[in-house]
Amino acid sequence: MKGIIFTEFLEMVESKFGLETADAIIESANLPSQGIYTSVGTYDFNEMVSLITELGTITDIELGELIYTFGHYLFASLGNAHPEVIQSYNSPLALLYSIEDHIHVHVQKLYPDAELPTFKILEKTDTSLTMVYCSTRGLYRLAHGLIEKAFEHFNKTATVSYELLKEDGTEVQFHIVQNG
Amino acid sequence: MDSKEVLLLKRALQRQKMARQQAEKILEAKSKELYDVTHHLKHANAKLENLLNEKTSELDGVFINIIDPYVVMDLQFNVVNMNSSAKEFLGYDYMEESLNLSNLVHEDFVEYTTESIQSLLEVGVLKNYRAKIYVKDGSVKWVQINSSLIYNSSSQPVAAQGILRDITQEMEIKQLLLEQRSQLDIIVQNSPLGIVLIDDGKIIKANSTITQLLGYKEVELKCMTVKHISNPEDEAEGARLVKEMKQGKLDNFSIVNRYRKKDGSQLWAKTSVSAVKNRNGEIDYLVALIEDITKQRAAEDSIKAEREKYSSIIANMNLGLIEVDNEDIIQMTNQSFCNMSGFQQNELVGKKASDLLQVQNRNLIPSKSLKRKAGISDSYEVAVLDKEGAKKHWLISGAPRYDLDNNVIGSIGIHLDITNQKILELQKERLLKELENSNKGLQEYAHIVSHDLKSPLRSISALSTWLYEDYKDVLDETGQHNLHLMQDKVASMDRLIQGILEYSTANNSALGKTEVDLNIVITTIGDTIFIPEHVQLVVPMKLPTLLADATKIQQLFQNIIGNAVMHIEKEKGLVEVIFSDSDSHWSFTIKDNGVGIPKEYHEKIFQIFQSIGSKERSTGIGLSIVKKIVNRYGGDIWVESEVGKGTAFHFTLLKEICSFPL
Repeated sequence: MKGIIFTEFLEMVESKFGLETADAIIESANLPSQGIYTSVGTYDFNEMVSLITELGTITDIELGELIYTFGHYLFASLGNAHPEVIQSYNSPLALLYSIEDHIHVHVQKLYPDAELPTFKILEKTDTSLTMVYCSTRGLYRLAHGLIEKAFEHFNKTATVSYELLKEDGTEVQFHIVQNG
Repeated sequence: MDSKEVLLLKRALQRQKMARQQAEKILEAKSKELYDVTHHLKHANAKLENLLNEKTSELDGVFINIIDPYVVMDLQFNVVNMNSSAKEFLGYDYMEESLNLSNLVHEDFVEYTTESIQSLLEVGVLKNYRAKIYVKDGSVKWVQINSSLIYNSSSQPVAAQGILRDITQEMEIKQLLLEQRSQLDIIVQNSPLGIVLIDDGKIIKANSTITQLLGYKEVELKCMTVKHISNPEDEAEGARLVKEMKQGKLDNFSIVNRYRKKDGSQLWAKTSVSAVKNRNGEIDYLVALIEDITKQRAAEDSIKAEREKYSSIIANMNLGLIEVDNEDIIQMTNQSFCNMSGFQQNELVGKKASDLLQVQNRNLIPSKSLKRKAGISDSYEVAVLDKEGAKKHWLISGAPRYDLDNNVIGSIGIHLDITNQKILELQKERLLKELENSNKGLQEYAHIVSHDLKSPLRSISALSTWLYEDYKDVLDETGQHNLHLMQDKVASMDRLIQGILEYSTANNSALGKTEVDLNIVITTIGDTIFIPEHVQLVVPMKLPTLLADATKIQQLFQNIIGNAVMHIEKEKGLVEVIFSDSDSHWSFTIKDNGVGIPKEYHEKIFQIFQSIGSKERSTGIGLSIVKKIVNRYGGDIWVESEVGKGTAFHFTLLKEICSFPL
């Protein structure tokens, strides 16, 4: 998993729960990397699982909810890091529609070893989108958070519903309807 | 700051430092990787460049040595490279003089060239551009060019290269073929025969004649098979012949068959089919020539009908017909001939005509046969014995018979049985002869009688004169008067006899033919006859000259004029001779202002011995002589008269008889 996800995750923990919590989850997770992350590096996904699990234990918040919140946070961070990507779109639906064909292509250019989820578009209208999230990581709640923030970025709101096609969350169908 | 917080910060700081070092290590590794890649690329680039140079010079060599002319031009058509073949062909060398290819294009191909260049610029290649160009010596060449664009490193077209092929000869041959083909097409299209090209039963070509004959357009015919246009009844025969042709038994055949026209009607035609074979002797096409024989058939039918009609006429006509060959053997007779001759047809045909039919004049038929052989037709009469031996008279119209090459192959005779007419004719001839004899006798009798009567009359006249001379002193007045009366009666009788004599000759004597000038005739009459002093004879216009018997013509005019002048009681008498000329006749009118003739006498006066007047000199013979003469000259005579006003005698003379031939 890309280092930026780790650094951003720890940034979020630090800003939301304080440096102490951040330090605590790193110390107690017993990580091979010892919690030393750089955004240009690549780290084992299991470290992320350990970090989230530890955070859940400490804060007593459900894991899915934590990941969903991280999705909210991550959108802004990614937007700050690569503003030109978002600027090239004028609607949230267009942005979502182009994840696979445009945004992930750019990601692959910078990080050839990145392991990215796929988004398969099933149906698209001017105001709605149906797509299937597919990733061995099962981080569909992260995607959920990112989608909502994308609408927020364009000053729009949307009703996002999802249905697990596989129980472990590696295949999830999203149905997004833009409001108004 | 408590120590726990310091420891926490220290740990965090430591992690950040470590992270930075980790990042630096990653970046260094990336830099090294980049450097290696760059180095590798440079090396590869250099290798490629060398390769490119080698290939370019290799290609240059290929183009320079290429047999076909090869030219490279910039986008303004200026030649920037050309091989020796191109120099030789075009006659220009771009090294010595600048050469712009657009100047070479023939004026007829400017537009086409512009379009072609446009397409070259759009597509990048141009294939089979064909145009006429001028080469340096001024001659015109046909060229075919295949061309492509040359691009610079930023994919902008900068030039075009092309390979030329001299196709002048090819085009000439093509043109020649085209001309020959169009000549052939003209022949085919204008042929009076329908021409159709057939491939396996399908019509693949048809000329305009057949389209007119059948009423289909060529495009329609091309979608059809022979079966579509053939009459089903003829199809089997046609198919059989085509099959034999395919088996190689026939090269061509002709049949008379029928076609179905577009309007459903039927076309009778003579069709000649020939096979067109390829080198292997297999049939490629069938060529069918179709001749419209509808009219011919109609003509044949009408000839047939005519023949039947004439056969029927010949069989049923009332004239006997017989055909013999040059040996006089009977070839054919009709029923009428059988009836006339009394023989049955089977008794006649195949027999010699002269053996069966006994012609009385034995030499006649052979002489007629000779005439037929010389091609002469004529008519003649024969007396012949029929089967029963009864004598018959036939009028035969004979003519030679010809074969198709105009050789006389016999004769044909048409016979009319004139036995009954002949008997009548013979009777008539006999009667005429008798009549002639009796007429002659009568005439001689009249002549003799008048002559013999005249001489005693003259004696009586002389004797009475002598009696008067000798006894005039003795005779009293009554005696003298009676003697005068006697002399008058004798003179009157003499005139009567003279008149009878004239009348008999007027009818019979031959008519002389001399020039008779009527003007002189009238003058002579005026001098000869007695004209009372109060009467004037006038001829208001010039009269014609006839070719006729002078005595008869004088008699004609003298008798009428003599009558006219004698019967005028008016103070001033006038007799006019008027004449007019119609196409076929001379018409004369002799008009007087005399006493006139009562209507009931208008017919009678022309009969012999009919006289109205009591004048002693009138014998009643004159006008009957006049009528006879007029009749002999083919004319008529009639009278118009009113008592007390005058009389007009009209008569005509037929020019045919009394005129000079024109």
